[in-house]
Amino acid sequence: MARGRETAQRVFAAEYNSSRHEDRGTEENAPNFIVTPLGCSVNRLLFMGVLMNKTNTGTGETPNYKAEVRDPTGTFFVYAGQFQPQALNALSALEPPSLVGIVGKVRTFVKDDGTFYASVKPENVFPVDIPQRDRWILETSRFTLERVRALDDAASMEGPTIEALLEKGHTRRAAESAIESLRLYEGADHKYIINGIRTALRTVIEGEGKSVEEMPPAPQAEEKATADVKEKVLEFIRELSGERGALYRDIMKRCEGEGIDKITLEETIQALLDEGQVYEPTIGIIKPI
Amino acid sequence: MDETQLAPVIQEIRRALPELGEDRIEEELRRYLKYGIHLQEAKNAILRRFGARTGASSLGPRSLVDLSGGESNFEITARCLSSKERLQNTANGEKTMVSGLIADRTMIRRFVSWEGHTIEKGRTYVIRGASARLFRGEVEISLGAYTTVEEPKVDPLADLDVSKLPRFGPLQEVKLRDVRSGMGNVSVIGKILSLEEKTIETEGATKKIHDGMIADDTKKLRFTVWSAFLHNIGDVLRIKGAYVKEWRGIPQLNFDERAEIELLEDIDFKVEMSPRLLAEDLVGAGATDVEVAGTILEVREGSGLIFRCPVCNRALSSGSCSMHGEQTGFADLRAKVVLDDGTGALFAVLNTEITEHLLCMGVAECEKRFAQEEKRLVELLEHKLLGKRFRMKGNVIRDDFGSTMLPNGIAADEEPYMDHVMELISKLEGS
Repeated sequence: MARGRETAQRVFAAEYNSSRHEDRGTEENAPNFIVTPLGCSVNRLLFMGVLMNKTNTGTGETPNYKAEVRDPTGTFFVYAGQFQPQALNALSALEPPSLVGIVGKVRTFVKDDGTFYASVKPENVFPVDIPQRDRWILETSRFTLERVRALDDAASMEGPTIEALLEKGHTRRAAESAIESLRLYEGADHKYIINGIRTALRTVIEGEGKSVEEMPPAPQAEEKATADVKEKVLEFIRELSGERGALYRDIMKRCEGEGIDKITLEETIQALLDEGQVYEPTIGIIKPI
Repeated sequence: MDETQLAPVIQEIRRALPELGEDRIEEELRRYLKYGIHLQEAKNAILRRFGARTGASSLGPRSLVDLSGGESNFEITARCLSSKERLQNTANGEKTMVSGLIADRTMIRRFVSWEGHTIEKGRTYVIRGASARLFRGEVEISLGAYTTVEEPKVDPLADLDVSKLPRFGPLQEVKLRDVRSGMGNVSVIGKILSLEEKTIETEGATKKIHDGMIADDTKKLRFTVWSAFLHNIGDVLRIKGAYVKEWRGIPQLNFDERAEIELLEDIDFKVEMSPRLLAEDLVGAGATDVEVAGTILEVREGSGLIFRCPVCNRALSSGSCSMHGEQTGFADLRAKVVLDDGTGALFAVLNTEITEHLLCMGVAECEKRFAQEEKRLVELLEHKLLGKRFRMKGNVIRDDFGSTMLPNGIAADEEPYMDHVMELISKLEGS
């Protein structure tokens, strides 16, 4: 029997972008999966957020779009080419900033030095309104929390198994995620994901009743990226920059030691990018101007 | 060809396929060698062809209960409970098919032989070189060209009492939501919603059966009783020992006098007319009359304005029907979509009425306005559907490509969400 259609997983950018493992399968035509730090196997995903900007990197006849879509926890990087006609069409019609929903397949890029980037190859892109986006946040929070709770239980068990987690009342998908997470990311801290859920839910509450125009595109970016942190991060970037710029990964490591979490860092760099203090010559590299 | 190399290979094959015989092995080997095939390759080809696992010998004796479908070249000792011969037309001409039921001390299973093995009711046989496969969800013992059937001198199953044997595997206690086709021996609790007596013809005789609907608080299923049935609509029953078949991917319970039926007086169910299920529950098994809520993620090809064959109603493709050739079709509207709730993905086909309602336009008007620009109509449908949440009610059928919902009604999912958000965040802040 043919494998059924892959489910579109609900994951926040913070969880998705921190993925460091993929599972290409051994069977012929096996789908490609990214395994997130919480152990969610993602082949297809659904997310909604603010289209921050889009760049046409192709030519008039064969357009290619690179787009950035922010959810309250981070940014999804989206690349649409000629084999995604619906997505190309929709992206060319949408003007940032605007709220969009995207269904897409995972896309991975591993650099020579082993750095892993997870981005998205969109299948369908469509405009959404605030209630739609809010429902996605609620749904994604629930699925994410389900994974967090199963993982917490699994981590406190001796020799955790899927069966033992099912017995504790976890769903099968959450139990499977938890075991996978322990296998691939044992000991990893996932507080930043829980913080991400909080931020996302607050976005819903704070944004209640507002129209898209009234909403700042990335509401919490300005708030948290205080001048202090910004200065510090800029300093690190300068310090770590070689001729070609600084690796995002290295900046992240440096920041970890200073108590700047992943989300704050991403927001700060976004702010620095917006201010034109730094730029991103290629994905994963930040260079001061 | 060095003849001395042949002998050890023949012996090796013989160990793996003892029923094949030395002469036959040599004959087969020489046939391959004549085509310039290497000896090792020829050996592996023969082992695979005659059902041995490469390099491995026969799996040895097995009990019927241990088989899961997929094993080959094992041995069983079993008594034949029923057997009938039938001429069947196949691609290779007319063949005699022998099929029926066999039992050992563990259970009863179906067998089928395409090679005219002599298997008679009431006799016990040692069957060597058989294989097990899944057919319509049941494990079936398959007897092939290289299966031997032999009657032992002393019947080791002379004292076998088949009346207590399960028809299929170990008893599984399940909710109706988790019933899957192919399950052999389930225990369920449910309320009889409808019941009908029918007379059918089977093997030349007429037989009275009952069928109806049974439900618990998770799902409704159709059931068929193949023996006397003394219960009524509204009764809540525990049925132990039912087996599950399917129709269009929707599981159906079957049971007969082997099943243990108990009337439960102090249990009742709140039976929803269309119980809400998750997509993951429907990916493995279809259903009648359920509700699913999810997000529409794709409007698929074949949506919008279509033209149907006036003879058979099939959708025409480029003005041509797959059965009746070129036709002048009549216009119709439909939308084929993907509904995904994060636990699973279902296909759904929205019928004429639903699609007209979505577009606020009838078929005739659509034909007038969009006949020249069908793509625009699809874009309009995408605009109405993509990324939006809907609740759909109806039947879910299942085939090799996945589960398909055929909704008889859909509604935008406008359940308020702010309270849920508040509740979730207060739980999070508290922890």
